[in-house]
Amino acid sequence: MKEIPKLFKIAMSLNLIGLFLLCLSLTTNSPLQLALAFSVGVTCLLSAFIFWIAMVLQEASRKGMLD
Amino acid sequence: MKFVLIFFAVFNVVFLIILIQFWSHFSTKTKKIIAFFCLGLFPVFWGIGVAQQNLKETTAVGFCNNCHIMEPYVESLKFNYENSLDVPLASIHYQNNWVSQKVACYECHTRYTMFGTFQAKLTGLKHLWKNYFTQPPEKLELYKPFSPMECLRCHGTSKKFLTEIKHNKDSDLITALKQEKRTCLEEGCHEVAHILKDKKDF
Repeated sequence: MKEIPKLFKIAMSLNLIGLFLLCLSLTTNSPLQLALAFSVGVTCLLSAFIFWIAMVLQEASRKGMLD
Repeated sequence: MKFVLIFFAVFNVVFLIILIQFWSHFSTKTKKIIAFFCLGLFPVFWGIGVAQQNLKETTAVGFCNNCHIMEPYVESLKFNYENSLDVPLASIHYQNNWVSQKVACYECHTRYTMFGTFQAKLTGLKHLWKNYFTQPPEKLELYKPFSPMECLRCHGTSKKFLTEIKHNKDSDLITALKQEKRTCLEEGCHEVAHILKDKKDF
């Protein structure tokens, strides 16, 4: 686990939270729970993607590919 | 469909776990491909699938019935109108399967325009806010008068509607309905939409 970049760990955690929340939105009957789980879940999935892109860009910059 | 989507989510989680467990065994290229799939590509398509499924779920009569305030309206769909002087539109449409019984509320209360569903969902969010965080009004009222276009979508071209004497008494009626200048729920026409337990209401 040591080699895994911190940003990737954050992205993965957010992705897992997002997946869980969207699955919750599929199974719930409560309108409030559905709206909350869906909106927070989508935000988590989007943030996970942004963190992953940030990680890729960080690595590229470290290797001097963005210069 | 629900369980297929959940299965795909589990599939994505398994991929991520494999990636983490065997991080040092994979080449950089493989890691990037798996990460792109799990964090980028999959969530987009899967998210669209979930949104679609949620939209479908929220059109169900049972979903409207989740809010206590809507219970009398949903109950009114099953009102026995045979011995009643008034024939409520909602009950007659629901009980005769003129609208799908699963999505009866949605079929009549959604505008059939390009963004009709989207508008209905935004209104639904407003209802959610009012129901959970403020005091809901005692008497429910439509935001705008009921649009005749929702009725004409099915009835507009039907022979029964076009040849009905009452509809042809006033020569401008059908044109006025199409232009939304008049409504089907006017007094003396089809004025009763729902019959609630103790009172008449629209």
